[in-house]
Amino acid sequence: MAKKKWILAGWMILLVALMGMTVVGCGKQPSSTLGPINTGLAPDEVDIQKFAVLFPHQYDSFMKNAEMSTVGTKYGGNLEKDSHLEKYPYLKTLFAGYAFSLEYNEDRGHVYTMHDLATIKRVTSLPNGKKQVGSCMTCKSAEVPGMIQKMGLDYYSTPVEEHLKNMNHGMSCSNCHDPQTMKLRVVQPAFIDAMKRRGEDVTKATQQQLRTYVCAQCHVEYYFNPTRQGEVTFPWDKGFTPDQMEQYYNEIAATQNKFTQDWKHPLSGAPMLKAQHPEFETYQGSIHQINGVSCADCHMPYTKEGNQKISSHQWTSPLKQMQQSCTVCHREDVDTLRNYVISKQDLTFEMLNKAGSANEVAAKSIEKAVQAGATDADLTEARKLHRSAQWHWDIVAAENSMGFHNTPLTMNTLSKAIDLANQATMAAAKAGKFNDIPAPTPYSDYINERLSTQGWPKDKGVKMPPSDMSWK
Amino acid sequence: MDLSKKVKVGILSVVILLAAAGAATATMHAVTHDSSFCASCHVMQNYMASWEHSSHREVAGCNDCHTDQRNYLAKTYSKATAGARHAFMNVIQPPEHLKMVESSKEVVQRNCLRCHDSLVEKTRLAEQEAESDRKFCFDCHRSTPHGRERPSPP
Repeated sequence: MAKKKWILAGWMILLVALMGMTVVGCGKQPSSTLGPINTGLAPDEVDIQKFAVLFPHQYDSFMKNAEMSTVGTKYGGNLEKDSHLEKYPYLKTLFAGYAFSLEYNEDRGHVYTMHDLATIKRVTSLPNGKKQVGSCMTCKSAEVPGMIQKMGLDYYSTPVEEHLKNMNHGMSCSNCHDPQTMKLRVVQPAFIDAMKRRGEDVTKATQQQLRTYVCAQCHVEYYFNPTRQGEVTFPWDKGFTPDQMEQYYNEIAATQNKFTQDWKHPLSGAPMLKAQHPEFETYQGSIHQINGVSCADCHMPYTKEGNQKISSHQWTSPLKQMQQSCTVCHREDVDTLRNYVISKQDLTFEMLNKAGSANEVAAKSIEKAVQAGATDADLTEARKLHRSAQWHWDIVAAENSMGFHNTPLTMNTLSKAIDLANQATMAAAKAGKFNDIPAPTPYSDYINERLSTQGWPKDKGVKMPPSDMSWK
Repeated sequence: MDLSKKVKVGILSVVILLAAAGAATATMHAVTHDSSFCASCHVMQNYMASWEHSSHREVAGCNDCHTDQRNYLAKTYSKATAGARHAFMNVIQPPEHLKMVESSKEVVQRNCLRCHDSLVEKTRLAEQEAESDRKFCFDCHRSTPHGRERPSPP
C-alpha cells in the first residue's frame, strides 16, 4: 500500500516537472541585441581612430561625410565654398557691416568642420585685425567640451587662431557617444544649461529623445553671452518659436546678459540679430516631431551591412537616400514622395526670396530716410521693425531644410518677415517723406532657375571628390 | 470510506481534471492554430487578405506574431485573454478599424525579434524596453505585413 502511494507520488512529481518544463523551458528568447559595451577606452577619449578599429562599419559610414554632391536635392547639397552670397545677391545688403558679408557658404559634411572654420574669411580676414574668438569653434571639435572643463570661460574668449594650434581632432564619436559604453549622451554645456533653464534634466533623457538631443547640441540658434566672456548660450527660456526666441532676446538677453545686438546695420542703423541654423527649434511642433520621429530616424536611417543593420553615420539630406529614410514608413513610391517634398521646398523658396528682398528694400529705405534728414527719433519704429523683419527672414534662411522641417511654421515666419519689412519701409518713407521706394537687387540665375522649374531632375547637380580636411 | 481511498479519489479527480483541462487547452490551440480561424470573424478579413499577399504568409501566421510565444502558458494566457476580448467586442460592436492594445505591442515586438534579432544586433533598437517613448519595429515598418490595413499607432 505504502509502496503504491510512493509510485503515485512519483508519477505526480514527474507530471508537474514535465508541465513545468513545457511552461518554462521551450520558449525561444530574443537573444542577440547589442547589449552592454565596454570599449576599454578612456572616458574622455576623442580620437576617432581609436573608435574606428572597434566600430569599422560606423567609421566607414562616418567617413562618407567627405563625399561632396548636390545630386538629388534642389536646394541643399554638400560642396566646398558653395557661396550663399553669390546665390542670393541681396545677402550683401542684408549682412552689410557684418562678417557674414565676407564669406557665407552652404554647410558641408561633419568631417570638414575644422578645415572650414580655419579657412573661412569670417575667421581669417576680419577687418581691422580683429580676431574671431573660441566661441565660434564650440561645435567644431570633439575636444571642445574637455577644453571648456579645463579652461572654464577663458575657452570662449581665447582667439580661434590660438586654439587651432593645439587642436588635433575634429568631430568624432565622443560628440554623441560615451566613449566607454557607446551609449548616446550630450556633452555640449550650452545645450545642457539651456534645457536645465527649461526645467529638463537631459541626463535622464530616453534613447529616443537622445536621438534628437545629440543633434540639438549644435543644430540650434545661439548667441555669445557678453557677460560671460562670450559663452555660447541658447535663447530657449521662453520657447522655441521664432517669436518666443525674439522675445527672449529683447526681454532677457538684452537686460540680464547685456546682449543687445549681433551687429549694427550700417544702412538702417538697426541693432540686428543673426540667426544660426535653428533646425531643432524649427522642427518642434512639426508633423514628424509630434509623431515621435527623431532627427536620427530620417538623417541616420538603418542601412544594411551584410545581413545586419547599422544606423547610417552619413548626415545629409534624406532626399539623397529616400529608400532608407522615407519609404520604410511611407509606402508611396520614391518619385511621388520626392515631388511632394520638393513642392513644399519650392513654396518656401519663393517666399524666402520675397522676404529677403523686402528686407533689402527696408534697409535701403531707412538709409534713404537718413539721407533725407530723418532723425534717430523719427526712425526708432522703422529700425525696430527692420530688426524683427530680418530676424524672421534669417531664421528661415539660416535653417537647413528649405522649410521641410516644419512648413506651416516656416510659412508663418516668412509672412511675418515680409509684413514687418514692408511696415519698416513704410515707416522709413513716412519719416523721410519720400515715395519712390528703393528697388531690391535682381534675383540671381540660381534663384530664377529654381523659381521657374517645377520639381527637379534627379540626376542634376555637381559631384566632387573628397577634399582636404586638415586645418594646420 | 477510509482515508487512503479518499486520497486516491482526490488524486484521481485532480488527474482527470488536469487531463481534461489539458485536453481542452490543446483543443483550443488546435482549433485556433490556423490563421483562417481568425478570419472567421468578418472584421478580420481585411487583415487576413493583406497578410495573404505578404511575404510573411509562408513563414508566420496570425499566432506567430500576435500571441505570446515565450512559453506554452504565456501563449495560452495571451490567446485566452485576447480571444475573450475579441469575442466580446465582436458581439457588442465590432470596430471599423483595428488598433493594437498596448500589451499587444510588447508581444508583437518580441515576435519580430524572435526571427529578426540578428538583423538589429548592431543597433540599440531592441534595448529601450523601460522607456515610455520607445520605438517598436512596426512604428516605422507600418505596412508590414498588412499593407495599409494596419492603422498608424495612436
